This record gives sequence, structure tokens and C-alpha cells, in this order.
Amino acid sequence: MPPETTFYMILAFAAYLGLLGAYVGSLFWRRTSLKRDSEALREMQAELERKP
Amino acid sequence: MKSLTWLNVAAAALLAVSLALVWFAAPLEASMGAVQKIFYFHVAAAWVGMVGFLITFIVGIIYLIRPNPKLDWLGAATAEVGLLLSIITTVTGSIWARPAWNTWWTWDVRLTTYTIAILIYVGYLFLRGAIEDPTRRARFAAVYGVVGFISVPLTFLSIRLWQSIHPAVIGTATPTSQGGFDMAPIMALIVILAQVTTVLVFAALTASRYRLLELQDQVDAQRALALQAESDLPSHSPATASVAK
Repeated sequence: MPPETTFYMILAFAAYLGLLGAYVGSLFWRRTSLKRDSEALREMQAELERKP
Repeated sequence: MKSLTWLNVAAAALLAVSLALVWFAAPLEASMGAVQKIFYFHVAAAWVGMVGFLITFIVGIIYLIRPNPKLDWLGAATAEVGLLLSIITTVTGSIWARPAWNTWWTWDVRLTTYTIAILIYVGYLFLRGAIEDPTRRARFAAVYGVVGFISVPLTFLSIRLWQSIHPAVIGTATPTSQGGFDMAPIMALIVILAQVTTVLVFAALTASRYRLLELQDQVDAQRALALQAESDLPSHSPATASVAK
């Protein structure tokens, strides 16, 4: 009869998916932030070009 | 961009299938019980993470011979994803150790050398974050990635060179090490699938991170252009200062 270690298995898979999910989330967050910066800079560039 | 989306979808789908097979189809190991199922992804994360550091090492050498920003981005992406997989390995290993060794952590030679390797690659990311100039950053990171790689073979060989309680599956050299490939066919099949899944997850995350570094480079170029245009104006506009770093 194998020992009862299901709790540790669940804990390990939660940690695995949690760390993976946090990294994917950080990629999304960094992408959104870069897109926002890029848009702001594009608008600024256009504004500067309009100035006499 | 479309191929990256497909790669991400394929990695997520294969991860879901592998997890379901590990959870529902893999048999219970006799001496450890359910906690042994951690090994399917723990082992895969460990070696794929080390391959990530190996790629950082190789592209670092190539960069120092023929500088190219694309090599720098690849080195940075593989180091970051390699670090993520190494942290996953450490955390899942620690959770396995609690019922198996009756402790969450011990300063065993494998665990110690692996922790040092992780800290070295945390340092790599700090170094990159600390240098503004992209060419200087790439050169310093390449040198660091080459020198820091020493920690990886040291970690791999540690349990073969010194006494360790950590299992050695490949090339059991010390009498205290345990391990082997004796497993049921279904277990062997799921082990192989978990390795393939982790490689695909690594590829998807590395490609996504690489794309982000490419985007960062474009934004930096835009920022430089905006600052240049602003300095060409007769009077200073406070608007640009808020977006400029």
C-alpha cells in the first residue's frame, strides 16, 4: 500500500502552474506596457511634427 | 506573429494533455505514492532549464565574435525562461523532499550548487536591467552568460563527484545515489510526453520573450527619435519628459 502523499502532489502542481501562470502574466503585462509607451511616443512624435 | 500564436496554443494544449495523463493515467509509485508524479515535470524542467542556460552560453560566445542584437535577445530570453524552469525545479523538488526526506530543504551538494546557479542567473537579469546602453549591455551580458555557465555543469556533475542524497538517474556513480529507468511502459510514455511538453513550453515562452525584447528595441528607438525631435525645437516641451526614461 503506497503512502498517502496526495496533498504534496497537489501542492507541487499548484506551484508549477502558479509560477508558469505568473510568468505568462508578466509577459502580457510587459507587452501591454510597451504597446502603451509606443502609442504615446507615436502621438508625441506626431504632435512635435505639427509644431511650426 | 501568427506562428508564435500557434506555438503558444500548441504548448498550452500539450501541457493540458500531459497534466491530465499524469494526474489520471499514470500509476501510483509503490514507495512514494502520489507525490512521485511531481517527477514527470520536475526532471523535465531541470534539464530544459539547463539547456536554456546552455543556449545563453553559446549565443554569448557567438555574440562576442560577431555582435548582433538578435543574439543578445535570444541569450536574454533563454536565460530568463531557463531561470523560471530552474525555480520551478527547486520549488517542486522541495515539496517532494518533505514527505521523502522529511524536510523541505537540506544543504545537500546538488541543492546548494543549483541554488548558486539560480542566483548567478538572477544576477544576469539584474546586470541587464542596470545597463542603459544596449551595445554595452549586450557585451557585458554575453561575457556574464559565458562565465556564469560554469555553474551548470557543476550542478549536473555535483551528485556524481560528491556524496549526495539526491537521486542520480543517469550515470549512477556514487554508492549513496539511487535511480534507474525501471518503470511501467505507461509511466515511460508519460515521462517522454512530459519532456516533449516542457521543450515546447520552453520554446513558446522563449519566442514570446524574444518578441518582447524586439518590441522593447523598437520603443527605445522611437523614444530616441522623440527626444531628438524635441531637442531640435527652439523651446523645451515638458510633454516628452514624462515618457522619456
